[in-house]
Amino acid sequence: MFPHERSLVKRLEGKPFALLGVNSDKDRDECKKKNETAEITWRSFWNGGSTKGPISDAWNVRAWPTLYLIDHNGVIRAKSVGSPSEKAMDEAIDKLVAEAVKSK
Amino acid sequence: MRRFVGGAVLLLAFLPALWAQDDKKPDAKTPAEELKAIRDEFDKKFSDLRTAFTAEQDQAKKQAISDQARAMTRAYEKRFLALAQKNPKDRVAVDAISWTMARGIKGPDFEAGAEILLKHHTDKLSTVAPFLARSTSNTAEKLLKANVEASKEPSTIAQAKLQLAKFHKNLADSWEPVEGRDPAKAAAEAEKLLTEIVTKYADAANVLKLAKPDLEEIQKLSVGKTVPEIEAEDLDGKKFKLSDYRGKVVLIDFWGHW
Repeated sequence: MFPHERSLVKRLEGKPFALLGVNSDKDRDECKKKNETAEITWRSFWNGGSTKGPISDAWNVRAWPTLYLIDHNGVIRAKSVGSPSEKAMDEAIDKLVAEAVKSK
Repeated sequence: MRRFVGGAVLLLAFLPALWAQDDKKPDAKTPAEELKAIRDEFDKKFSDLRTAFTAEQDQAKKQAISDQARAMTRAYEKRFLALAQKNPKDRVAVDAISWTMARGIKGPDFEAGAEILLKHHTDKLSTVAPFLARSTSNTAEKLLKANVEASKEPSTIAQAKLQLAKFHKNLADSWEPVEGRDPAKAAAEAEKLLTEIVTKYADAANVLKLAKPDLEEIQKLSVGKTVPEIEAEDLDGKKFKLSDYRGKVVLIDFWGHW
């Protein structure tokens, strides 16, 4: 999961794309340390220190990871419980980024 | 003297029957006993593997144990299925097939088990329904629908509809559409069933508790809806909003290092 996400962020640098996490680890500082080691550079919302937190409860997230893909207009375009294939992710994301670039 | 002979003759008359009883194989088990024997055998082996897994530090060796457990489960699934096929009408067939479906049996063996249930045990499908929601097969849908049809009490109907709704919601929640399935249609089907549960079966409180969050999720968070706002702190304690990123494509990932 992390290698692909790292490559996504690198590949789409400068393009209208953002990877945002909702993190469910227990301890913020621990998480930050692990992020450094794993080269996780993208921002995460803090879910309050557990998989049962305010954001995941509001979104009814019961299985991790869960992913949502949002277009540049804020419309939900894809959703997955569990990680989809890298190919499927790249295809969908590239398509929407092209739409976003075109709209400018 | 005659009585004694008579008695002796009578006794001799019974003896052949007694002998015949003893001829019966000493370990001929009833189907239920056979089921228990296979299950106990599996449980012991599985427990041993789990102990080995926990004790093992090397990741590659851990993976090997995990693979072994998986292969063993697949092998035992066949034995449970064989038992069910030998006794299709017996209650044991339900328990045996349920064991396999709980462990995610797939393919022709899954189909074979499903066929036995549909033929002889539609009144017991609620046993396997919870295991079918994660399946994407047409046969799983067939079983779940049959379970709804066979349910009589409002609370069991509500439960059956919930399982069928979960099946459709699972299809809707897939990034890569399952062949032959339209995620939007699946979401609509799930929404329909969940709405029925919430409006017509409001008395089935425990089913309602599970149906409501799923219904709200489909209504608010399906493909095509505008994403809700998130406003929270990041890992540095700084507050930020999802809407700060409007104008960009955003991939939201609910994750953890654990």
